[in-house]
Amino acid sequence: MGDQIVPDEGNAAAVDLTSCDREPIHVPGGIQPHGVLLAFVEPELRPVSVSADIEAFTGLLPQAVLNAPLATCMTEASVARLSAVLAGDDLAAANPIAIALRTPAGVRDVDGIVHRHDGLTILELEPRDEEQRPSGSFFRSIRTAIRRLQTAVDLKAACEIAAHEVRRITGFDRVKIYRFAADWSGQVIAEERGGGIPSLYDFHFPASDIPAQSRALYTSNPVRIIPDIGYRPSPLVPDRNPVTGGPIDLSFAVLRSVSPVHIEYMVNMAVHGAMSVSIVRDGRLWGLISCHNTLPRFVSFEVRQACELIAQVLTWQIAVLEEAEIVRHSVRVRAVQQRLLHGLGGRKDLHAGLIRGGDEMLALMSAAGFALSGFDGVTTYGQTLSEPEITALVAWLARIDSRDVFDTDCLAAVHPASAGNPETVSGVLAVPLGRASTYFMLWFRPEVAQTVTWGGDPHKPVRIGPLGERLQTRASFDAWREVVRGRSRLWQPHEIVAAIEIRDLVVDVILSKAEELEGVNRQLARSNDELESFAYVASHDLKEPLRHIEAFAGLLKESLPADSEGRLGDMVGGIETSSRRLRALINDLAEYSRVGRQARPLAAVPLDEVLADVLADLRPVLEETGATVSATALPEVLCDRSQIRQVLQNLISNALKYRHPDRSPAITVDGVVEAGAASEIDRGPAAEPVRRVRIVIADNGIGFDEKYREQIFEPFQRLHGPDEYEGTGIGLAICRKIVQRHGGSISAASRADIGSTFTFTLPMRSLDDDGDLGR
Amino acid sequence: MSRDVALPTILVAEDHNHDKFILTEVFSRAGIRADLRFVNDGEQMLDYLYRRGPFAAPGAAIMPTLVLLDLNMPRLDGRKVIRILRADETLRHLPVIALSTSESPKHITEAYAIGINAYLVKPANIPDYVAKVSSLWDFWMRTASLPTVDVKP
Repeated sequence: MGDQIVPDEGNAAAVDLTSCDREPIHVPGGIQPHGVLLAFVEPELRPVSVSADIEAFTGLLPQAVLNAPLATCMTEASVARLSAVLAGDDLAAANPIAIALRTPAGVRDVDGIVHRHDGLTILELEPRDEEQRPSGSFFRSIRTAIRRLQTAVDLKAACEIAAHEVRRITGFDRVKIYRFAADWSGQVIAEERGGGIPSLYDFHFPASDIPAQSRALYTSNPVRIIPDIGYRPSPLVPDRNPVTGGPIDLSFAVLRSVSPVHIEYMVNMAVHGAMSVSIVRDGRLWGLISCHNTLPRFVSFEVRQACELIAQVLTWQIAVLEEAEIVRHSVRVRAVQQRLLHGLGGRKDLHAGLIRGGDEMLALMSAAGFALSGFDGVTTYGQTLSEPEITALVAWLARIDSRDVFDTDCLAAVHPASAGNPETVSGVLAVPLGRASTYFMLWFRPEVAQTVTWGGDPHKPVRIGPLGERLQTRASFDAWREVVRGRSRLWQPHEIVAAIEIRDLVVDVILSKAEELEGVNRQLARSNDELESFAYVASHDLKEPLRHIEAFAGLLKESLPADSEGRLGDMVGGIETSSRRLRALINDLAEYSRVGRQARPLAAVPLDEVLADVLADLRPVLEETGATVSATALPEVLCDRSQIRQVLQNLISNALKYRHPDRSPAITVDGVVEAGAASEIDRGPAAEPVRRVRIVIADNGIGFDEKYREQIFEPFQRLHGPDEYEGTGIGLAICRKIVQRHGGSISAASRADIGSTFTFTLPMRSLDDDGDLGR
Repeated sequence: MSRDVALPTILVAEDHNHDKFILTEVFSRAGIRADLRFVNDGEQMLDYLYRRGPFAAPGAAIMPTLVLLDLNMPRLDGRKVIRILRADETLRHLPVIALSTSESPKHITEAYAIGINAYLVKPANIPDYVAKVSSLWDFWMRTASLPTVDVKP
């Protein structure tokens, strides 16, 4: 589409458009022959160079004009007007200058367009079409165009209005608004056309179609016209700038000759006349108003100026509308945030809350999917990478120290390992939840548009020019498609800002939840502490009146007359029995509360020794019941020795106490080192896996109904009446509390009449510094 | 021994009326004839021993042969009383027997460390209590030789 030149005219080799970036298209050495070019070095007004087609206009050979007074080829009045303009301040404002050329057929009026560049003053003469002369209705029509543009509600509408108005003013068959992307590829975002010319709406073109120096010329010289691509360039005679000694720089010339590549491209598109007007925003080429005609078409300088004005107004509108777009977007962001906050705040589960607001969040970010990778694994919504891919990506992001937002339009190019199907996900925007966090919010975008419906007959032979097949829109589109394969739309700055805002919101929700949780934990710990000290103090204070009751009962008993021991004695005996039981309960309660209060640091203890101590203590009972205890070799564990001794003592005593009446107790004690130890409850506080020992104590006693397997660990829960078996029912509760304090767990299994199995776990190596896991 | 006529005086610091009652009963059931004098707390005990306040009147406070002291008393705690007695030249020789409900080895060791002469856990069971008090009496009043109150060491 741009002006490009191939050095050797008629070069039939396949065109490498990327090499066009280096072509010196601003010094083509010739002009389009619908006009004449004359160059001077002021103050002299004698041409130092002239286009060869001066002969076609005036019948004079270039040599006759070169270094001759200007009046040789134009009227004295024309020279005077030119001189006046050159003496003035504002050359551009003075264009076009009415010039009357002397021709063999008499005087011919043309438009003179003058500019200074590179030490030269260049006067270009264009045909003046009296029918196209600006009139009152023309200016009214421009005013209308501008007013309509200003009513546009969004960017798309503005572009459509601009295309429509430019076509109305210029009469081109097709007027399209072409917009550059950040990578300089382009897309037709609006189009107005008539007649049989095919639509190029929504077509994409690769950046190489308009190379860098073409874009530079479009930026500095905003209007370009090629009235008839079938022209033969008219050379400059001579093509030499006497000031610089080099060729004449035609960057700002309206007649500058066109690259053969560009011409062939237009021929292949069946376009014979073209014009473009640049849309330059903040010094950057934003886009083009590109006009095509199936037949050659010339529009006068003044009409072109009107188009330039429309482009300028469009530029302002774009600025305003893009601002408005961003404001509208941020308003939508706020609204979505409000809804999210509302949705998340009231929910326990952050993930569920995010999923519920999923569609809105996707619409907001123009994304197809999102994921939250963190605490409870990966949550996805919509069209995303697979979970393993997300995990790989997040691990990589954490590794590359991505504390900031990470965005890409082509994941496969930056991290192929996590890239899946690009048609599903090409672009990724990842926002870390916190500094150095391995938790991320991620948004995903698929590849950009894949296909275009081609108009016309697909079997119609395509006329291929001498420079090859590449110079067609279809080939351009294919080339663009190749370039954008695996790429998504770029993440816009305001979208990234929105993502960060959503992240902040989510972090707020997480933090407030964490705070809430911490508050609950603190409260729990406090009430737990309170409960323990209450139990301890209560047991102490309960003991005193109890002791008095017992003492008074004792005194009473001894005061009873020897002959009245019957019923009165039973009553006093009842007081004594109840007091004893109450005392036992109080002692157990005190002991239970002491498990948490009198915690000693954990140390490495050989479990074998502890078991030996326990069996030594229990020897009388063991002998009395004829029990056998067999134990495998037990490892060293990390524990509070006296507490673990108590656990073993309680469990083995229970095995003896609840022995089966028909058989001698047989007790086994096994210690198994857990492999891997990756299960969740067995992780240390630093989330570092801790190796654990599982201790299993099995007996052949009376067993119990498994429906009580949880209940038996509750304080003062008994399965038997106090008359059947002694005890308050605190033993297993104390065992559980001790094991929990060690960061382990305890459980029971049983079959009535067969036996019971108690299993508990203990850590094998160092835990955190204070050594206390249970608090 | 110059106490043939008068009963031996035992000063008991005990805040609880039930305990006073029980102790009196236990002494009686053990067949001990003694002059049991009760004070409610450490401060009263010091008043008694220094013969001040309510004990300032002549004859109001007879110097005891033995002191039974509940370690956990309101106001001036038993441990503090012992420290004061042991720091006082005129009183430091007094035999002091601690009464307590605590069986904690820590408490027992601490009590000896600050200078008690014996530690007695109050039994809840009356026969036990009677037996303990009897043997206590046998030891202190019949077996051991006690310091003479009026003689400076």
